[in-house]
Amino acid sequence: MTTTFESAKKKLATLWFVSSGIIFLIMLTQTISGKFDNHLGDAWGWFIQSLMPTLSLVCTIFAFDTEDVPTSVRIVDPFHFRAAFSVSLFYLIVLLVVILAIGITKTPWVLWLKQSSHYLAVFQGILSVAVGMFFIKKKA
Amino acid sequence: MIIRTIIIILLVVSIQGCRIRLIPDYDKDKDGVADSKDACPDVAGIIGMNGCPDLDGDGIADKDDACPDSAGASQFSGCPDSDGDNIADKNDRCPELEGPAENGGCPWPDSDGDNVFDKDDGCPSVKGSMGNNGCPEISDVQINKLSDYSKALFFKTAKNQLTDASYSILQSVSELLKEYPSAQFVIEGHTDDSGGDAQNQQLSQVRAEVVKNYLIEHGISADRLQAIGYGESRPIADNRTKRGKFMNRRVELRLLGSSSSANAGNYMPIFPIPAPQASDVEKLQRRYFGEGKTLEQVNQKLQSALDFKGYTRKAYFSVNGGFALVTQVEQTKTTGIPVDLPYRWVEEIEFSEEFSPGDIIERLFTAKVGYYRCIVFVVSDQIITFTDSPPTKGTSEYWLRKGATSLPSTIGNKLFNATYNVTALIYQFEKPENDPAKPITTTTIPGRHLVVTGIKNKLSQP
Repeated sequence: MTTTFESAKKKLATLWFVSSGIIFLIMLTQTISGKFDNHLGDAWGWFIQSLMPTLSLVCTIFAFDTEDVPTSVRIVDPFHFRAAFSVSLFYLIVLLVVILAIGITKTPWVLWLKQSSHYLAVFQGILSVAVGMFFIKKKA
Repeated sequence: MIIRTIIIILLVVSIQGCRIRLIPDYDKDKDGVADSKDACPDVAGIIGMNGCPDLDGDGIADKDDACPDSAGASQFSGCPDSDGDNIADKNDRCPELEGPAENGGCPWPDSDGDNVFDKDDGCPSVKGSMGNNGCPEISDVQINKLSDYSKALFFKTAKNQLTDASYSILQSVSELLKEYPSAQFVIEGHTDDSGGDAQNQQLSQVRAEVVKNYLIEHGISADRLQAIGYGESRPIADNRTKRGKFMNRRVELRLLGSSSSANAGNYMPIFPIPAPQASDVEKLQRRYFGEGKTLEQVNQKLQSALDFKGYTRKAYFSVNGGFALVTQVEQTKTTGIPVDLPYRWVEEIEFSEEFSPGDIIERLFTAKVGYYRCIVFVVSDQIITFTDSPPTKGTSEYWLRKGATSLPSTIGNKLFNATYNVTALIYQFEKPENDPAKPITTTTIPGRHLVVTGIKNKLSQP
């Protein structure tokens, strides 16, 4: 069983755009309400560091691939798609949990986000490999 | 193929964080650091300093060095601190002498050289001891001498006139008192049993006042003297004999509130007056403490109110003429009401164990701030003045560690007369979740701290 690359790419991009949008809106609200106080740099630094590498990869592919209109239907191995999608979903859920957990943890939030960077870095490596494989391994 | 190449490049960038060099590097100043990496591309510098020079060799590049010609430490932006007082020479009014920042880096003056700075010295021109606010302490020998003098002060029968011989003795007493300008005395008047009780009581009071007035006329401050009449109630000899009656018609001088060598164990650290700038000041009315009490009784009243309200850790300091009672730093709500245990006495900001959606959303979107307070009760007959700067939270915590655990009798035995005031200095601090605590210079509940803590309510109870 195969999946068309166009459909898989849209699903993955939707997942990333929606999730990033939710996290961005939460952090924007926190910024406006003064939660980040004098530590805006720490908060948005965490956002950029956690989301931007993979998000920019997804955006770039999405933009470039739109210009380069395929002449034939491209397919992608369902395993690669599912791996990229589930790892992305898991990673984005973890990010969402980390940001929402600020409301239930005793740890000061700057320290909480810094601590999360340690385990998020591991997930981010796996994620980059999974998403990269999905894009590279497509076939015409 | 193009897309694939871009993906691979992006992957490498996102995973490895590699930098892609597209433009060749130049080295204008020929210092071995390429211009793209050279923080000072026009001046030859050191590789270890990103190509910037360091003329004074203090490890701080000249561009970041406030004193590029003199070697200095990084905490002073590269400027020297010759006297090691943590104030850079350029900001130090006395760069060669170690001194605190509050005095511009100069040592506090100590005119009499008794190791008590003039600002804390009750007797700045007379050498004294630290335990006695820089004033000289009366030795046991001098106390005995005073006792011998006072035994020789006698009055004519039924009169408030001293015998002739007593005047010369009184002159010696006044000379002795002048040597100890901080020592305070009670002048006790006594009579024999001739006449009625009321009459003798009045006569003894007048006799004590006579001595007091004589000493005041001879240069002793009235603040240091207190006259009390005891009538015929405290005889020292047999009133049935003429000799005994003569002995009982007397005035005695008793030392009050100046520590002698015998009281060395009663050393009290000194609370700084002028005091650090307070968030609020509340003066307690005298009615809370009653009349004719000693400072110890005032202390007991304060202590019992504080204990009742949970302030079990306290520290005592001496201040001129009295004492200061410092409470442990407590965490409060924004309203000034102390937070519940276990957060009241710890630095960790109060955290509600409630996990309702409303609480979670509030904690998610609003900044957490902890509020802290330390109360200093100053019982003194002196005016309290303040410095320009407030204390840090660390300073108020240090007070608790440094202070004595109880009030020594040399201070406690002083009479809480009309010249005394009880003033509460409120020191408040706020600590944002991710930043250190900073002092609050103006409280949001002026004059209400002792009400919201319940201390005033407890003090008003008999």
